[in-house]
Amino acid sequence: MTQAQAQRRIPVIVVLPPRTLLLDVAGPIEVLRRANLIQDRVRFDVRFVGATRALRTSIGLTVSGVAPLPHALPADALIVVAGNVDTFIDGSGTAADDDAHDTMIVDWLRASIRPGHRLVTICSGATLAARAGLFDGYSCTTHYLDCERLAAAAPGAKVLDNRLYVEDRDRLSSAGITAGIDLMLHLIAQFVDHVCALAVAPVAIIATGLIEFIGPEFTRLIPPPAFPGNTPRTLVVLGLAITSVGVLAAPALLRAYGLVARSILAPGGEAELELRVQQLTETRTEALDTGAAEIRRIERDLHDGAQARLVAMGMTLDAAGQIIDSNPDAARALVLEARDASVKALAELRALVRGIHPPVLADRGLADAIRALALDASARISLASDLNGRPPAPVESAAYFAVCELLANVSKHAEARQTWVDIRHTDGMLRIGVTDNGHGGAEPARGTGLSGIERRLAAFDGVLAISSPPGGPTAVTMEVPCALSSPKTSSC
Amino acid sequence: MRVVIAEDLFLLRDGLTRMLQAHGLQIAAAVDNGADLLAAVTADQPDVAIVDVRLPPTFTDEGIRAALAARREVPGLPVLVLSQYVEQLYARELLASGSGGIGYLLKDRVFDSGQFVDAVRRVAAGGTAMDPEVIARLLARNTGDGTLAALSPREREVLALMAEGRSNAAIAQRLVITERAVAKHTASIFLKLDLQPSDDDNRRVLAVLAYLGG
Repeated sequence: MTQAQAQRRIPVIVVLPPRTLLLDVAGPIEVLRRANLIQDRVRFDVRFVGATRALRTSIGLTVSGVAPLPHALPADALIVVAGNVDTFIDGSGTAADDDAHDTMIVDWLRASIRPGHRLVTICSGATLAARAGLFDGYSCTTHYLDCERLAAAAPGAKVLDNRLYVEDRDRLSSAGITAGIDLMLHLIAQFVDHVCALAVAPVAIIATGLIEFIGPEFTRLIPPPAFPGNTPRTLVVLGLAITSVGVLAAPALLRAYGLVARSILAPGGEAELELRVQQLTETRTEALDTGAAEIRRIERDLHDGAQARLVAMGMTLDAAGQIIDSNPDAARALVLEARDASVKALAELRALVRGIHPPVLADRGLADAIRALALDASARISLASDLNGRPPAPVESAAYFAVCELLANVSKHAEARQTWVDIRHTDGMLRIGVTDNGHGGAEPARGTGLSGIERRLAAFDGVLAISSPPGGPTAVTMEVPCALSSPKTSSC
Repeated sequence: MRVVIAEDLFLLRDGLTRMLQAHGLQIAAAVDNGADLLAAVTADQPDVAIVDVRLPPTFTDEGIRAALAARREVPGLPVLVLSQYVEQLYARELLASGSGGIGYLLKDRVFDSGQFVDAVRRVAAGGTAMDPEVIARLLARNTGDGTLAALSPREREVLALMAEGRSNAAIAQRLVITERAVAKHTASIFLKLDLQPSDDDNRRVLAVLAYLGG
């Protein structure tokens, strides 16, 4: 299944009769909205049509912008006929021209519905379709209080009660109120798939919860299903059976729910790649910037340090050469001066090298380099390491400087008595923990140190996690995916 | 006195050879790698081996490993390790490598040939020559946690020179004080740090280094 595959568009014509029961429209069409939202294989194009441009709904809310009943319907249209009520919220009833509008809709339905169209009636909407003769020879259902009226309107129809919905070929009809949502979920499963229907289902669960909340008066609208042998004993057995099925099925259903949720919420293959490209672009830019800044620093240090001292040494030696015959003592002093300058130049070069790539790190690797660091530190640092090979040099260097920075932070801010450094390599992941028993409260956002480490590690897909509650302890964990090379392969 | 030199850079190897010869030392062998060093110390039985840390084939810490191997091969062999940088980690490993003189110095120290030859002789005689930079870092670390707070500034100077492996006479000369004054300072240092005094120069150095965690 690729993006290239054409999206299937399904025209949905929602017919709003006078005194529309708003829940009949809102619930089922909300299901379609959700379905449009979470997948793009099938798109439901919803239009609302009616006998008038504006109409008053069951709850007294007037809806406007209703399109006129169209002259022709697309061949694959889904026609949804909403139910209506006899009495508005304020107790008022049918208006003078309501009957005329009902008749307009019935006539339009009769004239417009062709084979290939799918007709969906919600609640009492079935009566309008029945009057148009659309259920003749079909099974159908409606709100249980309306079943008689439906049977009277459609003598040729087989009216079934105690059903949430009835599907008979291309005619679908639902029982009262929220049953329309169930019917719509059923259609989603057909048009899209069961996964999508399941994902949309929480809407239906909310609706069911609403009924529970409103109470028994309301739930009576949907009568309890009748079972054969409706005695207390069979009910108990049935109840136990349902409970056991529920208990047994729950884990599997939860797992399925998790899979569905992940398939919907987690980025798909392409989205994941896009994210990855974006992340790589960012970390590469940062790595290059950091590298360039580092090279500038080295250049400056060499220019102002060792280079300048070598120039001075050359001049001093030249001066010594000029006076060596005339004033040997002064020449000797100049030569000694040049020697001291060379010692200083070497010291500066050593410090510079230590900052670029510490010799112990090059010689012995991460664990010994940190051990050497610990020996130079005044704080107490204990090290545990199980590395039996060496990470790639860039990772090793990034990890080393990250630990340096963390240890420097500890000595600057934490007032810790002891710091523990723990280096492990498991499952292709280098994990370094730096924990101190200082006063905590370290925030990555506050200083540039921690975010600098984060950026440095990000170039290797590494991450940093910090836990530092006020009062301590502070635990920083770094993870960098990498392989270790065997310790024997260090020769160059 | 017979010396074996292991240094891979020709200029340095040649320079060291000339300098030591100029001071009356005899060069038994001058080699450029660890394997040849091992062969030379077993064959020539020198009084001291001078070894560069970076040697082929790895150019990492090959010299340290070769020095440690040489001391296993020839127990008590005095070894002086030279390096472009010094690390406490390596100093500890060398100090822990058994008996016999040990030296660990920056290469820059060869600029002062008098001091350098003095260090070579000290190591050959079973003494110690720790680079001032190693000692400075040891002291900095111990100052940080207040261990050396009880010492006076002068006592700290004496302690540093003592830790480098210098004798009382050398310390006196360096600080331009009398040997008796040095003896007074060292006695005070040992008392304050609760160390066992010793007349043996080298045992004294090792006690101080052990105390400082070197």
